[in-house]
Amino acid sequence: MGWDQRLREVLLFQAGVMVVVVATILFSSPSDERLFEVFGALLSASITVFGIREMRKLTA
Amino acid sequence: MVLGFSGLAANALISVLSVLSLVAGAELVVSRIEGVAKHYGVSEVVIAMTVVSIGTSLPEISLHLVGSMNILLSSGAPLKLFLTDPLTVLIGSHAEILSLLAEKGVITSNVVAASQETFLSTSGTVLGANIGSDVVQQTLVLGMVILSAALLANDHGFRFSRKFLIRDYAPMMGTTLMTLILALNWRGVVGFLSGGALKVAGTFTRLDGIVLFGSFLAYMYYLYTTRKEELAEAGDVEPSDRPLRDLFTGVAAMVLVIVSAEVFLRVVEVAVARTGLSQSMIGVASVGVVSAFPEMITAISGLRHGSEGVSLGTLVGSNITNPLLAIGAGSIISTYAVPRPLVLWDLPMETITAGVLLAYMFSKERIGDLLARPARFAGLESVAGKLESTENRVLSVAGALLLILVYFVYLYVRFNYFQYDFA
Repeated sequence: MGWDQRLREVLLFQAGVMVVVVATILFSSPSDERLFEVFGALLSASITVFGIREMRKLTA
Repeated sequence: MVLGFSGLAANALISVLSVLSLVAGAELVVSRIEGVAKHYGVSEVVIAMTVVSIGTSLPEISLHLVGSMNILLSSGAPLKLFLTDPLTVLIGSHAEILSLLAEKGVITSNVVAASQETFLSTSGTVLGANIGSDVVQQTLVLGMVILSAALLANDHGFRFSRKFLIRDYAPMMGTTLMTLILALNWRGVVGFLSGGALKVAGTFTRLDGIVLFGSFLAYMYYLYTTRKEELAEAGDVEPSDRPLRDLFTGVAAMVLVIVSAEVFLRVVEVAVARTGLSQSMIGVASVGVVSAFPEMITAISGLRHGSEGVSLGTLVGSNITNPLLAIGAGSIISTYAVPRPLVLWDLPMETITAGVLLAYMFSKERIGDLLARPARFAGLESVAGKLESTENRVLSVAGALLLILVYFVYLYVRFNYFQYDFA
């Protein structure tokens, strides 16, 4: 499995978890700050994965 | 009282000396350890990725590590702290963990109050110093380097390489954006958008620290797999002739760095009590400025040898290492409370400045063409001609001056409108 393929899978996994977290925040009373913490962490990690993938493409 | 002195003037002097020895000690550590590593045949790439890349950020990293250890030890039960509730340890703040420990009767309410105070003041100082140093480098130092490069080449502008913008500058902007996302209190953001109060400063939790630290490792791996040869040229220190002596000097300099960081953190406490300035502001104005000097000197001396790429790479590389490694490692150790000015001014300003510059560099020709049409329509042929001849990735002398001006605007707004960290 290539590097880009792995990055794509990680990104998809993160996106999936993020959708679940956002849905939980939206459909429940957002009383637990922890969900928001997870959301921020996933969003931030996605930037790394997406950014490195794009950099590899642009500088290939 | 620091080192037996309690007067403001004496503390100001100690503060200056501690910051200078912090930065000078870090420089000495890097040069000695690099020489020793080369003597023992460690690969140039490995040295560049460890000693050199971490070295330029060593003052900030040391300050974070010493500060985080202070926060941990102030709880009086640093080991029990990690064994409370795993989820709170991972995504909670130091203050939340203290409350849990107090509930269980492990620590008293006095210890909780004192440790919370250390948590807030240390967080403000180390984060202010870190982000302050990045702002200085991205605006003032970058502007000065570009200006110097253009003037030395007797040119009207400076041409960035496409690789630099994509491999160095864009990740730097991404890093700042990531730091902002992690620093925000997302619940507060949702609350504010629903009409609530503006409480958007959050916490750098251990999970955030892992994300930042993991991103640093990922970026290092990316560098390793894509630009080994360029990295090998980054270090310019000769192999050491006397490795044992240099190793001893390097270790002694590291001790000096750690002691300086500890002294500086104590001086800040005195300065805050005496002047009423916020911790982050002192960090921005002292370590933030001084720790940018080595990068500026390296960058400008690199220009004299005609190696603009390496100069700017070192400068921008340190802006990637600062938040990812220093804040990342520090958050994993102790977590940090984010000062309000960081999320409301410092980080947004940094991200927007970098984003605008990046977008401008890649769309300058298009913007020139667009503006040339109305100019030609108005009969301003020469203006239209100039606009049409603009090139992508070239920053003019005026652009560099504007970048320098941004720094002074940043300072003015910071000192006038964002005076309190946690009010």
